Amino acid sequence: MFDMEKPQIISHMEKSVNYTLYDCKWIPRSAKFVTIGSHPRGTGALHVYEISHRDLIQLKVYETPTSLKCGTFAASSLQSRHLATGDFKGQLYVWDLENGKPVYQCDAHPEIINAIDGVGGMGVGEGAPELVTGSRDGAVKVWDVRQRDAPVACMEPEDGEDRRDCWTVAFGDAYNSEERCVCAGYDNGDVKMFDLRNMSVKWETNIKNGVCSVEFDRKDISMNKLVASSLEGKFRVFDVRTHNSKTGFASLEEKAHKSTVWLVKHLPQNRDIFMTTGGSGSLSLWKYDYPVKRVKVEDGVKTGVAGSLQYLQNATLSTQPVCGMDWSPDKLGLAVCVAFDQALRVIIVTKLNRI
Amino acid sequence: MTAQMFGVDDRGDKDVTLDMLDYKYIDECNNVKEMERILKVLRSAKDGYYPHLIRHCENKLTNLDPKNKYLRKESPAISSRDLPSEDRDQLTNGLSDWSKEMKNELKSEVNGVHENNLPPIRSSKTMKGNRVKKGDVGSKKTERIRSADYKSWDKYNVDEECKKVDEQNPVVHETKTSIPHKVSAEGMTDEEREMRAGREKDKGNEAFKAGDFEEALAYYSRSISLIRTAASINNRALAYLRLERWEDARMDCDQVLMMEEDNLKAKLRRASSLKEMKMYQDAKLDLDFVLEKEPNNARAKKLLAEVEEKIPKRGHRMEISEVEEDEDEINEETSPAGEQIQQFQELASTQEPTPTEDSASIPKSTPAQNPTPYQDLATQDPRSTESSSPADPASSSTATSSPEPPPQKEFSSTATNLSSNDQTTLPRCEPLTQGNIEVDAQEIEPEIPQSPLPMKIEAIKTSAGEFYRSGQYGEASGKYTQAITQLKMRMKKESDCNYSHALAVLFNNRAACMLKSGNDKSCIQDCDSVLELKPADVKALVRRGSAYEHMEKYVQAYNDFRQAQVADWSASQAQDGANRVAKHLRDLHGPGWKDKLSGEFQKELKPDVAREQSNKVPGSKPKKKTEKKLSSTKSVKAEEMEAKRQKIRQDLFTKLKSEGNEMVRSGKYNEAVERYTKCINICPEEVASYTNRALCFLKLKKDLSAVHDCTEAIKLDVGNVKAHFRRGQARRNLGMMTDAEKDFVKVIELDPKNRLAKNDLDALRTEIKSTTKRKIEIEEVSEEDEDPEESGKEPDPVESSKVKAEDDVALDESWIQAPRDELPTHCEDDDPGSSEVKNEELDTEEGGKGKPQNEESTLVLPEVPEKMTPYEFGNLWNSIQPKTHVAAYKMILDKVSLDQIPMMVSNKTTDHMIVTFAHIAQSHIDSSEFDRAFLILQHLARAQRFDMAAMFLSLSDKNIVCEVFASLANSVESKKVFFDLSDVNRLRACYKI
Repeated sequence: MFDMEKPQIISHMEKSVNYTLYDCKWIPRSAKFVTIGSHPRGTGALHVYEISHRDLIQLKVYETPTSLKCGTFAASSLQSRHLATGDFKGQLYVWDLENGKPVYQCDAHPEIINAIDGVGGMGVGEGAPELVTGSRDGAVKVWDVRQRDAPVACMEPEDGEDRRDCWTVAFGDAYNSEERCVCAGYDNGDVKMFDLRNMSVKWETNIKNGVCSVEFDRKDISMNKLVASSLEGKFRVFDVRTHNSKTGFASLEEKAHKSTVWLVKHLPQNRDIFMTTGGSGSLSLWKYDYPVKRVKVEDGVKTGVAGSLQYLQNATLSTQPVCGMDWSPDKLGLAVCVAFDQALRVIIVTKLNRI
Repeated sequence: MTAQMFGVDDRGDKDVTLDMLDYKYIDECNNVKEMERILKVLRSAKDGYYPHLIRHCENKLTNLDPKNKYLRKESPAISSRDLPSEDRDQLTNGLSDWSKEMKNELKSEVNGVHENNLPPIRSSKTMKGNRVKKGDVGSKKTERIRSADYKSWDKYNVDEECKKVDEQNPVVHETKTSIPHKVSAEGMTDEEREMRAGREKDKGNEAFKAGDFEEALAYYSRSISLIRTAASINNRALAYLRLERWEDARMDCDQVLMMEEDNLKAKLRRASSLKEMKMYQDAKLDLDFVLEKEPNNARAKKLLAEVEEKIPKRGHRMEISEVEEDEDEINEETSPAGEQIQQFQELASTQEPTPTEDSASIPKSTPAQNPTPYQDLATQDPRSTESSSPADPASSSTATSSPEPPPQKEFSSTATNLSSNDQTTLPRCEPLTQGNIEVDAQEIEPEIPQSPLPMKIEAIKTSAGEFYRSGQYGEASGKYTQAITQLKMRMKKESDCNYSHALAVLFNNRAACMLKSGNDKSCIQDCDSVLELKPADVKALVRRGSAYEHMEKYVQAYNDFRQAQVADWSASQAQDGANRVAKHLRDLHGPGWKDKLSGEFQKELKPDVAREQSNKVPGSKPKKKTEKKLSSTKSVKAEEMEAKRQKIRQDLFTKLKSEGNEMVRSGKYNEAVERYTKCINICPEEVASYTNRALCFLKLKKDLSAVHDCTEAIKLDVGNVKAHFRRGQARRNLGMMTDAEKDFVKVIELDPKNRLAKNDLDALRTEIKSTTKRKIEIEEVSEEDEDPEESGKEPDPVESSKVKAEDDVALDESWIQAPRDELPTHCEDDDPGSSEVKNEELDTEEGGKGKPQNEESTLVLPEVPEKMTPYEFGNLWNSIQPKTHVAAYKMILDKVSLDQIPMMVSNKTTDHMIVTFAHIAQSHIDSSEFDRAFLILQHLARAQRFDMAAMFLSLSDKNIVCEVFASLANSVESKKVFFDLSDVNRLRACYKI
């Protein structure tokens, strides 16, 4: 019935909830995931589910004071597995999911935290575990949970400069304990890459439309590829290995969905495969193929060469935007996603190891 | 309004006009971009919604560009409930196993120490203004000194500035990534460590795949520093090999082999490194071990061959092999791509099993015990094709009109490589392209060592190529002429050097110039010269074809294009050309042009050759000799090539045919027809394709086409029962009762046991004889018997008729009784396996059962006046429909007195008329009116233009006429007739038989 040679996106389980879902994350080294959202009365919802045989079991239900927008485990150790969240009031919390108590709390931004990412935990990336938050106030702040109240790095526009809404942040380049960079995407299409060691803007570009999601293919390697998705259904893949002072990074653009590309998520087990999620409830699976030669040298100057994209599969899950998605770090092809239709879905992508 | 009428409205897609939204236009359009635009407009439904046209357009686009993004369709996610239960269970079980395992691990996990050795907290920094600072990256603007500013120039220190420039240039920042090769595992739990190690190995694999071997090496080392697994070490060995750190590679392999004694990959890798370190004996030991375990390991075989070559034989000194070794290394470097791919595949194979079956939660470093690590070698990787194509200079897919310098250069490089008698890049790539269809080309590996082009001539050629590219064809051809004369001079002088290839290339290039500048005759001459040197040169053939086409010598052009096609099936230019010319020929000579011109082809070919002979430049005797020698060896070579192609074609043919048979079985006759048509194109002399296609046509009620196919089949194989039987059926459907009868008679003659034919024949005869309009329709049941004829299982016609009989019960009274009494008697032996298929087919047929009867009744017999003028006769004759309605023709002829026949026919004699007369004569013979039959034919032979028309009789027509004469001759002996055998023979001669 189906072309079984290609990877298939299979909707395995589906569950409707009575609150708005914004994000979801697998709890590392477990068959559990947490959903992050907002109750209609303005409080946050943290629910923990477990996959068992054919059912989804709701393990924990926590209600937090403020609507939650985003979360990550990436700065937590495997032993503790604390969830860091950003909420509508700009607060950064780190939760112990065993008891639902915050282990860290600070007023990170004056406005909503749109995005959060982490590095250094979970054995991903060298160096200290750090969190980065991006907010509507236009600032991107880096946090170390060992330091209360103040960020360890803050990148914000100059006084008097336009404060653009920062929609997405991502860590990358953390291949040794010194190097680390943060990439941020803004509502005006700006993509900026900050070098945390030198505290400088390493690179910036504009992809014309609001940047909904940026992600490095891997956080803990010398930065290799960066994907930025935009409002108008397109995304751009940058080969960030080779920087040319004149032309910047080589890139290629692809139209993925008929509407906004909400998210880009790389497969943890293969950095060249990633999923994009669309505003019309669709998922698209892609593979990046490297060119024969990634670098060409002209007049002694190295320039990157963009590869090509292979469109592997798509599937429409919902009529509403898929706003959260997470690949399981432990099980190849397993993922959970949440959409604005107040439903969470466990999906399985088959044949990923054959690509 | 007017604008809209002309299709130049403002719909945004300015180039898509209304007339493009048309089937025909879409069919002919080969521009992907344009198709995309058309599809966009169609889908937008601005000019109306045409679902079928949209589909048509999509299909066309699929043909042009299967991966086009406009073809991407959104599909709903498959729910696990929709999966086949087997897959679903596998999926859920896999998942629940995994979740169980996860739970267990959670319990076993200890809340150990952590955050012991974390790096210090970053000192807080704030960065205001997140813009790239100008000057940081951009070059500083130094003030330019004006030309008149003498004071500044005085201060200008040239040496210093030069130094500055030198310093600035190497600014290209070498971002050597310093990845620590070790990971501190302090404070890590076992799980963490394991997870980390797996992750590092994954990173290594990814980096390897992307070609970053240094990085891959670092990550493998990190993985190994956490947990030592054979797989990681083995992979690191591979990375070392890629980096040409042979000693390290060998050490890693040793370690792997200490852990896993029989690891073939490690053995093989160690052998490679040993070989590079010139320890051939040790390498040989390893390779022997591998080959013992896996006798078909291609890579091991290759390595062994290389190694054995290097092992010094008695009398050889070591130094010699060392020198060879050096060369070898260089060559090794030249073709990493091919090997790399193979290695990728190996890597892929060491990765995890399918997610559904995978119970391991971490990408566990499973011991690399893949039983067939190198089997991938023969499987075709798209990349391998890519990488090998540059090394495939003469691959005739480059049969474009571009000038040859690049291929030629490559060719000469291969020539030098060959003459240096060393490993070349080509043989190295070969194992990878094995699965690839037809990458071979004549120019590769020439048996006669070709000498490289002398520098001077090479230079002329290059400049000529430049002229050509810039469109100055006159100059280019002049240069080529110069090069040719010089080369010929040289060939005279140095008889030992063989420049024939180069000469051919030069001629070919000049031909291209001539073609471009419209000098068709010279082009043809040049192509002739090329073909003398290289008999099956596709480019030359295509060029000559084009030139002939320009000169409107379509027959020759067609011939050339066909030859080019035969030489290279993929030459699209040849195909296009052949189609184009075929169209012209059809317009000129009518649909039967192939038959008509088949004789001409031969005729045309001969003068061609003759001209070639006479065209030879006088005074080039030595050249002639070498040419002859060459062409003889070449022809041997060409034969080999032909054999290869034949095989490929044969494979394709069988594939298509079995597909076609499959289609027939599932009732998709239209698709089947397509397949068989392709079969016929590939192998026009295969009878089965025709008979099978005829079956499909029968099923599709395209009886005329069926008749045609059967006739073709009979032409190829006179004794083909199926063809006769099917033609009988088709003809019966068409109302050609007598012809059908003849076919059935023939069937019975060939196969006396064929009951179906007998039944059909009986029914037919009663039908012919019965004056009533009710005719017995015998169902054509049996034709399934041969669709799978080659596939071996030939369902018995008897058994299918049994199903038929069963079906009968359900039929209403319109089904006439006659055959029913007989049919059930055949049911003894049946094969239940295939009855299902039969039933399906019968279902589809029921609808059409009454049809032939109706057709028959609608055949109107003409009203024939008592006296006719030739004009009336002609009109009447031409008005008969269908053209096979012999009875009607007979009626007309009956009204004509015999000696008036030539007058009536006047100068309108056609081949069709002759055949019809023959049919009429036959029917007279059948009713024992031998005299009249003879006279009809005799008088017709006196008509004007009869000789001409007789010449155009096709083979099948001739057969028919032959049969008539045969029966006439028979009648001479038995019956009392006024003519004798000699008369018949004389008449036969008139009919050119």
